[in-house]
Amino acid sequence: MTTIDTPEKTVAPRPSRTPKPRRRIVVEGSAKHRGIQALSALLVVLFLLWAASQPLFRVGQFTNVFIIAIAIVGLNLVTGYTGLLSIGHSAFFGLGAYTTGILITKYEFAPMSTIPVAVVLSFVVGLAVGLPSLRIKGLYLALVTLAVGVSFPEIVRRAEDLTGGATGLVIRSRFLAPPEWTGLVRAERGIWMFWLSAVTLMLVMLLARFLVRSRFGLAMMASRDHEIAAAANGVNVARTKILAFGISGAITGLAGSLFAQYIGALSPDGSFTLLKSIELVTGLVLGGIATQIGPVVGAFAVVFLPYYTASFTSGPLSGVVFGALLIAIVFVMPEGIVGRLTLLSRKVVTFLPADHPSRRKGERPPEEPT
Amino acid sequence: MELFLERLISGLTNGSIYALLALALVVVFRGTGTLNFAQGELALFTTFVAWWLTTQSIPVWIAIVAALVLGFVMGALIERTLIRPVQRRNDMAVLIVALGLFTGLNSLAGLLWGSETKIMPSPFPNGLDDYVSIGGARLYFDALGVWGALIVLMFLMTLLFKKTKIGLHMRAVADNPESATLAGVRTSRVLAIGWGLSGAIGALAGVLVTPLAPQQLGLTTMFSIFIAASAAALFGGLDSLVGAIVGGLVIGVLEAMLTGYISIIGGSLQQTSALIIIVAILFVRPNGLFGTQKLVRV
Amino acid sequence: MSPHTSVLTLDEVSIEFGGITALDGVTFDVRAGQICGLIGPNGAGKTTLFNCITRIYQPSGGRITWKGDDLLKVRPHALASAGIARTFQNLALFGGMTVFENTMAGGSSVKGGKRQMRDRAWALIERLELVDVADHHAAGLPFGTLKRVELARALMSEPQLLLLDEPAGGLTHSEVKELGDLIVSLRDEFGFAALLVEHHMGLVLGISDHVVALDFGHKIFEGTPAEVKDNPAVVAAYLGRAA
Repeated sequence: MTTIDTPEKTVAPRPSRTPKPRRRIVVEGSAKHRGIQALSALLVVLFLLWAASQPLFRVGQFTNVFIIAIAIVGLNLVTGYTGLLSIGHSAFFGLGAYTTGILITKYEFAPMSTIPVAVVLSFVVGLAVGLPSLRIKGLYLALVTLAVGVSFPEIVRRAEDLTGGATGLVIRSRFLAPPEWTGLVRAERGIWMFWLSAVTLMLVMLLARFLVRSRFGLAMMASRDHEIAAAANGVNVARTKILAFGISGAITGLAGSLFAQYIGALSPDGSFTLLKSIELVTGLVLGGIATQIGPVVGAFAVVFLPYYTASFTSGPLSGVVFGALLIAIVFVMPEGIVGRLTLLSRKVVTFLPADHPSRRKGERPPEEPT
Repeated sequence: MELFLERLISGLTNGSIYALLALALVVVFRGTGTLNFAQGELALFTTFVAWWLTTQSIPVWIAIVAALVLGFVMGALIERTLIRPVQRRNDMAVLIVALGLFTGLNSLAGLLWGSETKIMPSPFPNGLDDYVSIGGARLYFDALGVWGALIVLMFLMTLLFKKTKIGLHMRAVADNPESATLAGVRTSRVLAIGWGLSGAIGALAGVLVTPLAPQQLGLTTMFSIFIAASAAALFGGLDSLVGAIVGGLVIGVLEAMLTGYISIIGGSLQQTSALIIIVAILFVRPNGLFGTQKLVRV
Repeated sequence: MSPHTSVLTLDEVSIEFGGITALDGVTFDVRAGQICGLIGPNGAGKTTLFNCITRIYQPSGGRITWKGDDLLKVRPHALASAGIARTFQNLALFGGMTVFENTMAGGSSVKGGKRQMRDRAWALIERLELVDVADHHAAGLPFGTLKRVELARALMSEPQLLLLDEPAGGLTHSEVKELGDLIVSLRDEFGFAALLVEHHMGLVLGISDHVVALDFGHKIFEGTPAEVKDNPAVVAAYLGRAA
């Protein structure tokens, strides 16, 4: 399930255990299952409605959470599912943000129409970054992604004419007014960004879920777990890795584009440095590598932790907490929060696919293996 | 001509610092097979401690020795408690722990001592007049001191690895841990000593570089040095001490020359250039320029 | 394809590594539906030959044809779609995926709809008695179970040739017997040919239709299992060396 914790293979069969009480079975696609899904969806909607009614400053925080969550969903694809650690994803985040910023301020694009451009550009750069992964592995590849992440602010500072350099790029709020069809006025831009980010997050999560459960998902995970066996089974590992980087970069670039619209002022040393990359990795690991909801949980932690720790001291306490958290997670909960919850829930309930053999024959569903 | 010499001197001085940190990286890699991503920040932390001691009226040289000792102890502790237990799993776990150390140590330094830049006193005379003239260029004593430190360290390391028993054990463990254990080497102790040694060398790099203008001591000081040192270490494939030293000096000199003579690069693209070097090397030789090819058993 | 036509042909296959000849003019073939055992003492070149067939090495001389086509032109990741599947000596399962997902991954080269693939995966899982562990992650399952998962994964692509790399390694005596029976019954059911590289004499002689023996890169024997035991060259090869 995870890539931080792959214990050695057992050589001898495991000792048998006393039989455990039967778990509840829920068949995927059944009425019970649909009911659970509907209930979850309802809870999400209720949460969003509640969040949107909070004071504007909180609404902004939630918006930030959604944006970071989108960025982490992107990172999860390449690091969680394909096993290629990237500590340079801040570059994609920044690329998306600056693309939007420049298109709006210099070329008078409408904000929404900058999004596809940011996504495509980030996709292409992602493909390029994926190329080294064909020859370079593991920690060396991480170094390369570090290179990419650290060069981005330097290049932004250099290309002053385009990006505003070190002084930054400001997008005047009149350019960021909500589109007319929403019926919102410029002052309600915060609410607009909240809903835009929330909906985008949900769409992106659906996309990620679709990808992971497709053949491509199997190819990603196979490439992660054992390249040679993957190739022997017909997986084109090179193409998988490059595509994974491309899609991952595109999604994080999408987050960056939303970020620019949300924050309105960009600076190379603000949110596009190595610190942002580390933030994204921390959120991913904390929430749960290679899980579908992990990025959201991680995003909440990563946005709210510094906010709360800042009230304690004036120093960078959040950095210390993040550092300690990263280390603690590897030791205590390498599967992350969502991973751990999933493991626990499996003791109580089993989700059975509709085509499971036991259902066809009307047999009892499987017991826990001894 | 003097400009060239001054650039060369500056390049060799910075290069020596890169070489020192690169040495630390190589020592860890040879023993444990990992790049210590947090090496720079560990050095930073120990340098902060040295600085703090000098503010408590402790003489610079003693503060430096204290930093070296602290670096050794922290390095060994980190290896024992944080790295070793996680090594058995996979690469990513170790990298993430190192990432955690990277953030944690840097922020801890900021938390304890604040993020304003501090002035680090130099162990060498470093007044405006403390220089020697070579061909019209000024060779300051503190630069000379850095070169001297590198030379002394190279000498000590050679002595350690070639003439001492512990050095022999370290080479054995680096080469083949299982055989070494079977031959009676206390592998766990050797690993801890390796990391400890590298922590001390990193501390040395930190206390030597920070007094050099315009470095001084800030939270971001060691990061770019770490990047350059990684590139330097890769020169030798991460397991060659000589490669690391050569790499460090070459990068230092290249940087000084390019910054000076080609304005397009300028200061602000320093890190990008170093990193392009890293990518280029790894592309051509995925295990470093002189690295040994890895065999994969299927 | 009628039974006993040759599907995999090796013709004077040779390979050198830095002056050392690891394989020297090896010639034999594997017939449709046949289990061919490849034996020889350590260092004989079995693994090298295996790696040539799985396209990890490129022979310096000779030809290998698969169903009439030149196999040496095929890249490693195209083997599965060419109808050749393999298992690994040290078990190369996808540890982060479940048994079901591992099996599905075996179909990566197959063009087929989701429904079709899932049905086939479940069929194989049932056949190999893996239903109880289907949603278990591969990492952490007992060794013997993992061997069957590898077989399920390999069979997913409906291979016509199954390459088995020392499948008996790490198994107890009775487990080897079970494995042998399983391989034979799978062959009877699915009709693939198999090349079995193996040290365990009991397994090789027990299930092979045809045996090839190598020593120092040469083929020293080819024939039936019954003939192998008494063949003086084979006996000398094994006894004359510390195996």
